[in-house]
Amino acid sequence: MKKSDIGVVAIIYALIIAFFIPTLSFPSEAQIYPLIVMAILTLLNTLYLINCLMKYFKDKKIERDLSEIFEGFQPKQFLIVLVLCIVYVFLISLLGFYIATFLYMLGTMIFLKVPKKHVILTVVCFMALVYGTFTMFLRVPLPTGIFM
Amino acid sequence: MATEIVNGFINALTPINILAMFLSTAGGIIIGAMPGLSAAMGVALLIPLTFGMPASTGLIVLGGMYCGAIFGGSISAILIHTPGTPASAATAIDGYQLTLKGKAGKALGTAVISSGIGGLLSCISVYFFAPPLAKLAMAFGSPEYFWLSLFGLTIIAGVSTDSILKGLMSGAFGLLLACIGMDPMNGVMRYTFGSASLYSGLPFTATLIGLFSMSQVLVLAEKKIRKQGNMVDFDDRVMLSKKEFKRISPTIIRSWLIGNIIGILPGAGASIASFLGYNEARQFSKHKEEFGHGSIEGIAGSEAANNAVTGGSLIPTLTLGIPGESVTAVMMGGLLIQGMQPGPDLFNKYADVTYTFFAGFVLVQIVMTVLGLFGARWFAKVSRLSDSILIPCIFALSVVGSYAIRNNLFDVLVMFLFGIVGYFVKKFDLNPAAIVLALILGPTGESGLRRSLALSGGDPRVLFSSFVCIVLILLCIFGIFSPIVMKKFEKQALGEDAKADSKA
Repeated sequence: MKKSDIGVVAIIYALIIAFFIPTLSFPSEAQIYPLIVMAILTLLNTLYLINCLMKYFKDKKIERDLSEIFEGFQPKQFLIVLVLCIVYVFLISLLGFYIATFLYMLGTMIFLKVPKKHVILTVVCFMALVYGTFTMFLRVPLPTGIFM
Repeated sequence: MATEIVNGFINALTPINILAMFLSTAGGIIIGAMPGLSAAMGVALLIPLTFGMPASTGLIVLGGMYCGAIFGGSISAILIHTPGTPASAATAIDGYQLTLKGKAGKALGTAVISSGIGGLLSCISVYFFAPPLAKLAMAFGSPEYFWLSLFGLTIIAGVSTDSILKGLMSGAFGLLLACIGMDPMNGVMRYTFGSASLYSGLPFTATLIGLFSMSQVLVLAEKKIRKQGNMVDFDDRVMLSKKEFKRISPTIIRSWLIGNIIGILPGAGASIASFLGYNEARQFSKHKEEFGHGSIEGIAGSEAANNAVTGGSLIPTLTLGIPGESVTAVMMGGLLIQGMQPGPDLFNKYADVTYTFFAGFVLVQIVMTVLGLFGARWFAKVSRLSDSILIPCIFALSVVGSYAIRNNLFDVLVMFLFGIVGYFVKKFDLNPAAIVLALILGPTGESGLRRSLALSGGDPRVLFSSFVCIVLILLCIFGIFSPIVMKKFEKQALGEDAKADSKA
């Protein structure tokens, strides 16, 4: 039995409960299908749990496979990239798409130690590509931010 | 049908479509050549772009990306022994050996020609098998559609994951997500938490981009950044001689048949086809001793087979709405946002669009061959791009792509959330393609089930009342157990290839 399997089974059960509670407030006709799906998911998850338990009783050990799954994981780099992505998404509504994208790309590439020449080239090419495709060709009204 | 085929070619040969073919195929080759980026990710990122295009051009673009990426995987397989996509794993065995001997050009030339011919021949089956299969779907009523949606899910659930149970769990989780939004029968809001943006369900394109593209950003960010790839420069001829072409021709024909049949069978995929194609090439070769040491027949066997899958896999996707692998599941999303449903309508109501797409798919194979033969050196250079540049570019494209469909920032948040979900789904070996397919098939299944029950006054026997229903139930059972058989095939082929590789 793998340690990651325990997590997967627990998360799936938690998700079923999270969906089950609001389902009780639906009119009976609208409840049927989600309840069937939840029953199927519960059955599959339980079968998976039984499968894992059988392996556990056979081998008498829990395999600590998380280090294997996250082998070579760079926590600092991963978290900073993730935070930069989150900040970017929030900056879009504040500064508009183009300014936020410019800052995000600049920040991420500087953090990831991309040479300056490549940073400038990438940002310019990317912005031109997005402007040409989404603004000129598809005429998508990209967010302009609160200052425009 | 002949008129429709000819008209399809006339429509596909407009300047804008030709430009679309060149750009999307080139983009696909670059994405396929970059280790870590997949064809499904490329297609997911392109879907928002195709939304603003005429339907036929949009579908040609997706087809170009698909075929280009499957071929592109062979570039890094040959030059750095790292397959860009799993479908090129068998190519790496002999391709890299040729590179070590200073014959990288010849290896790439073999891969290009075999991929092009394999893909081109696979288009024949699309013309022959797709229309009659679509007609079959006309006989389907609500109960049949319910079982068909279940069949589609059982098929995809077994693909790409080691555990069939995990695949099925992913599908069931996707079905639960598909319940979000307005109830299809009586308009009750389910799990929307008062958000108007969720009334019509989870935004499909944003969810798709999150699961396949944004998640890839996190996968790239978690590991030590891959700086510029160290691909070797090569200066030998890419073009094959007449003698070499004659030598690989029977292998290409064999691999085309293998790839085409595997493609039509939902549940198998390009990686299985390439290993089977490689094995058969070795089986029939007069130069068995070259295998594992740089055989052009080995490369041809693998590459013709994996590209022959592309045409074959379109058949169940377009006719019955059951894509057999992740790329076609994502492509089906592209079809749906154009307002087109797989099935008979594609060959009647939207026949002009469908046949233009088919013709475009044929032409894409030619474009891919031309680009591969004349641009292999250039593509090899571009695919050296470092992950530190790819990370912000893919994420920014994911943001603008998910926003562009409904001009709604909420969709960007959904994309972000599903990016994180997709990251953990990949990490814990669940199946993102099954989740996406469940999102597509969920509403069809629910409507089918509830309409059947409403018409029969709540009697569930209606679900077992027709011959087609019984066949579909049997197919569902087959769908659950077929991955076990397929995995045996794959393991067998892998075992033999490992032997060949270790000998080398």
